[in-house]
Amino acid sequence: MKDEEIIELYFKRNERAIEETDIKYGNYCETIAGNILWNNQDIEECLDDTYMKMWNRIPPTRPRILRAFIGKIVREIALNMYKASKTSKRGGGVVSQLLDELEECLPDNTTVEHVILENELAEIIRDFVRELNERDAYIFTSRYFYAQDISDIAIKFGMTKHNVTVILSRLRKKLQLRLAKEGYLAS
Amino acid sequence: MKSEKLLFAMKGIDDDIISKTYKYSTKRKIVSFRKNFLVAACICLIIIGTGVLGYNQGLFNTLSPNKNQNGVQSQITLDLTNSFSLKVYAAENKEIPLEAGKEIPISIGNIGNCWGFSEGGGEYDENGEVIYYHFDLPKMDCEGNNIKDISFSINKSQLQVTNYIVDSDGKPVDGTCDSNDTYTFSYDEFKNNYINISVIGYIPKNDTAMNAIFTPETIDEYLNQVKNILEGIIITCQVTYNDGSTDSINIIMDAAYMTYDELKNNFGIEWSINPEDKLRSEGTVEVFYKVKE
Repeated sequence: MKDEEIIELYFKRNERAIEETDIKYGNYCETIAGNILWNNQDIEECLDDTYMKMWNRIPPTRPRILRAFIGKIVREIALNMYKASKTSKRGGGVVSQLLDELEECLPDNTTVEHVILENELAEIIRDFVRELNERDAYIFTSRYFYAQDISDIAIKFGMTKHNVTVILSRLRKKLQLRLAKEGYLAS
Repeated sequence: MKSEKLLFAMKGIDDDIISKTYKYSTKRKIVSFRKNFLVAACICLIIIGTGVLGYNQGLFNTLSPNKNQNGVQSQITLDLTNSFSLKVYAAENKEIPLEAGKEIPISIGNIGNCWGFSEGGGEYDENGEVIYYHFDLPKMDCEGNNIKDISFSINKSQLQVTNYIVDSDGKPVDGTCDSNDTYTFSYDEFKNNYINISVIGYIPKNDTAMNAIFTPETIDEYLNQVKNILEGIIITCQVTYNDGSTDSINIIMDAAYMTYDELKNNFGIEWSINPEDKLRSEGTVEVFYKVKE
C-alpha cells in the first residue's frame, strides 16, 4: 500500500492503518529498535509504543515522508527505553559506543544542556548534515541516526571498516567545530 | 549526559536524508561495475603481455589496437597467449583518456573511494601516538588469458583488502577484511567478488604532522605532508599464468593541488566546497596514482 493511502487510513481513524504500517514498515522499525535495544522483548514493546504514537500523532500531523517520520518515532522511543534501562547490557553496547564517540564533540567544560534547547541542537545537526556531501551525510546518518554497526556501514557502502572509522572521525571533528561556532562549546 | 542529548538531536536530520540513507544500497553500484561492463567508463592503466596483447575490441576507444605486420588491425580471436590487462574504473558515464603512465585521481569512481587521516586512539591505537592514513584504490578489474591468480603487494605501509562475496544481484552477502603486505586472489575470485583495496598506515603524531594535516596554514603545507607519506610507496600487481610464468606492473602514488574546475573538467569530479575552508576555496589536494614506468 502506498504511503498516502496508509496516511489516509490514519486520518479516517481506521485501525487498519496500524496493520498496514506494520506490514510495510515493521521490519524497518524492528531494525532501528534492534540496533539500539538488542532485546526482543524490549524491541516488541518499542514497536507497540511506536504504533501507538503514530496513531496519536496522525492526525493532525500529515507526514511528508512516512518512513522518516516513523523512523524518528521508533528511534526516540528506543533511545528512551535504553536511557531508562541504563545498562549497556540491554543496549548491546552500540549506544554506549555512540555516546562515547559523540562525547568527543562535547568537551567536559561545556554547560551545553542548560544553554541550548534540544530543538536548537536538532536544527544545528540538520544544517550540519545538509552541508555534507551525499556520501558523508549517509554514513553519518547510518551511524548516528540508525545506530548501525561500523561493519554494517562498511558493507552497505562498499568500504572497509577502517575507512568508515576514518570518515566518522573526520565528521565528528567537523561537528565539533560547528558546535563551537554556534557557541555550543566553551572551547 | 551531554552526548546523550546530541544523540537525541540526530532527529533533526532531514527526512529525505534519513529515507535515502536507509534505501541506499551498494547493489546499484556493484551492478554498474559488473553488468554494465561494456559501457561503464574505465581506464586501462597498462597492458602487459609477452605475446599478443589482450585487446578488447571496442571497449576502450583510446586504446591502440594491435596491428599485424601489414598494419591491419587484428580482430579478437581465441587467443591462447598469456596476457593480462588491469583496468581501473572511473566514474560512471565518464570516460578518461587511457594511457600508460596517465595519472589517475583516487576520488573518481564509486562512492567508497576516498582517502583521509585520523588521529590515533580507540580501537587501533590506545595511546593515541600516531596519525593514521587511508587511501582507497579505485575499483580494479583484470582481464586476460590463462591467468591463474592475481596478487597485490606493497613495499611500505600495508594493504587492507575487503573481499565481499556478492549474490547474483551484486549485493554483498558476506565479506572479510584484513590487512597485510601481500594478497593473492584466484582469477575467478577477483572477477566475481567485490574487492576493495586500500593503502593504510600511520605516521608518528607530532606537532608538525598534526598541524600540516589537520590545521595547515597553507595548502602547500598540507600537500607536502601528503606527498611525504606517499613517497616511495609502490604497489605491485602480479599475475601468475597457468604455466607458472608471471607478469607484473608497479603502481605509484602522488598528490597534487588542482582547482575545482580542473577536477571537474578533467576527471568529472564534483567537489563539495566548504565556504568556510579558506585554504580550499578554489581547489584542493587530490591523490593520484599511476603506473611506474
